[in-house]
Amino acid sequence: MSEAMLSIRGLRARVGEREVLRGIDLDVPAGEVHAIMGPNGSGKSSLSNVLAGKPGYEVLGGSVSFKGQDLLALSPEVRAREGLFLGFQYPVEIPGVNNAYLLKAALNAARVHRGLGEVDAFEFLQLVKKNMQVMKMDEAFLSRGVNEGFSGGEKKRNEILQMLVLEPSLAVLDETDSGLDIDALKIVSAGIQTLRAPDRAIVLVTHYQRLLDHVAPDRVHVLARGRIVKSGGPELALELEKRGYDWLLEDAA
Amino acid sequence: MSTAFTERLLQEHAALRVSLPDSIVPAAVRDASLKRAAETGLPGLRDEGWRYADLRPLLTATLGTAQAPSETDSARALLPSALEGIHRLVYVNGRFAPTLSAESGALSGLAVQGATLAATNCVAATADERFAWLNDAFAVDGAQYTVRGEQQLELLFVTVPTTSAGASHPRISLALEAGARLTLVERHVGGSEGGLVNVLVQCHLGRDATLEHTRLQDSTRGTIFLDSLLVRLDAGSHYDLTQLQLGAATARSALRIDLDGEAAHVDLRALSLTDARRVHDMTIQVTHRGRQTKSEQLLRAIAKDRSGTSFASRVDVASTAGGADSQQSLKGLLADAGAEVNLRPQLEISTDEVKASHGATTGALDDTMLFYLLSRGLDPQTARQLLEWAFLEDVISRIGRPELRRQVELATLDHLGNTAAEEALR
Repeated sequence: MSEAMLSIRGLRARVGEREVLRGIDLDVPAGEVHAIMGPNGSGKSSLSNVLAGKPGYEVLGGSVSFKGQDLLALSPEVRAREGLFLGFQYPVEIPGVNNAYLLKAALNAARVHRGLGEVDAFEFLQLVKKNMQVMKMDEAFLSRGVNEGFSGGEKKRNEILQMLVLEPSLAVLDETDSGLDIDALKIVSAGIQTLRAPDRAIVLVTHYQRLLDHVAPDRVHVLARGRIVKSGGPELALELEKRGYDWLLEDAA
Repeated sequence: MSTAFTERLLQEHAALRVSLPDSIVPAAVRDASLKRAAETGLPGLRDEGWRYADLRPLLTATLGTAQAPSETDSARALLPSALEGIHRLVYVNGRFAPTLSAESGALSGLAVQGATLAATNCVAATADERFAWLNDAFAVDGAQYTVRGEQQLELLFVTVPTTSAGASHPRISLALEAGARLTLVERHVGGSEGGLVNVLVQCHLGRDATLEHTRLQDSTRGTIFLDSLLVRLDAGSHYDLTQLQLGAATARSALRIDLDGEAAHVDLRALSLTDARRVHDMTIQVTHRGRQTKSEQLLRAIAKDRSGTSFASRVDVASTAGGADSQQSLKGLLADAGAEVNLRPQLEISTDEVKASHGATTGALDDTMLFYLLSRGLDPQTARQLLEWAFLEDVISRIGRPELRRQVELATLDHLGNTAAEEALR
């Protein structure tokens, strides 16, 4: 096994008075896709948010190493520039800031951070157009406000488009499959597959098996009450689909 | 404080009386307005409509119009670049400056008229717009036109310091004939430390007339800016107003809009930006009298440092205004802990069968949006500036002419010191 892209040890965090992560241990090696599953309220989104550095979450203990660095010591924007991408469960609408600009600013922030120059306008447009084709998105989206008036499915496709343009080392996709119809699910899955590479890792946070039919995970973890209660291969996801989460919750209690 | 002000008002006016042109405001109107101004004086501390205005600088300001500057170079330097196809008339310290204005040939659809027409057809000022009376009393020049057909006009009011202190009383009186369409750009630039600029705009929109009005107040930091805008709309007419308050030390803007005719429609968007210790105060009174009349208001304020902004917007729907539709959206953004934004939407309905909504919120930038941008690698300052832009762009985005919109965008971003959005818009 190659060195872990992401290595989490004993991670505990709270929001307000509520402890939402109660000792998470997880290793995600480069080149692998891991699925994190679990019932509502198990801490899946909290884990995604803590990794991305969302304000409001207080880390109580434990450590997170990302490409050998102390992730928790970095600000959210530096985490992103280092190659961490969070795909939002509820992508935010920002009217007045256009999509193309955000994409370009995000790409340049990462490039400059890595000592590369800013991307030139032509090169940028080529890159974006290529990926928009993968995501079957109309180029008119580029000149619209970020997620402004997008349908649920369009927002999720836009998240994956951003991910494809930014080419992160680690993508944490928080319920990217929720609210997608069959066609959109296929497109989003194809987008995620495009990013699979030996030097990248992907964490799929999901409630259902159906995304995993299209993006086969290397490992599946079940999160319950803020802890990983079971890990296994792809077959674990199928078992969960059949049996639900209850049998694991009894163990976790 | 009011008595001293009134005495000075009467003294100054008496000294200037013989020099004030009848063609701009007839002497009888001047006298009547002077009398009202003197009787009304300055608002007191308990005057609800003026609670957030800062009029103290007015106690020391000269009220009579300043001399025209001996040279025009300093005024010329303040002129924004011209807008193609829009006829520009420039006024310096309240006086028409032919050498800075475009040729008069293109003004064929604008008939210069006796001053009374627009004024008599227009809405009368009340104590809320009391400085309109001051303008009546002191104005030495004005853009007074009857508009027919389709016209485009820019009125640019430049204030430059002169050796003797003095005020500027920009004055616009417009009567749009039935079916006329006017694109009007009104800008106020320049100013002097402690100097008064006191604007009066009176418009009457005839049947089915359209007025697309962009107003920009970009006065220098020490200026006292007072402004009264009185508009009456006949049936089927449409008034589209974008107003930006960017500059001055203290600015008070009072708008009174009467929707008299059936299906008259006002669409009002305003933005106020304050920083340092600036005070902006805007009051709006919209009255629905005609059936099926419609008013939409979008008011946005950003306050920084220890500055303060207030929007008080009142809509009255009279018993005659069945089927009226009124929407008010007021939002304030507090950029610093010491800043203040006061939003007061008010709605008074005297008939059933009305559609009305209003909302007012004040707060800091949206944390969720901010985190979204940070999570994409943008630095916090860029992210904040983009969101600041997103907060206000609704006001500007509907300015129809791209070139004008661009100028307004840049003036706004310049005031905000917002380089990120400037780059984003490039």
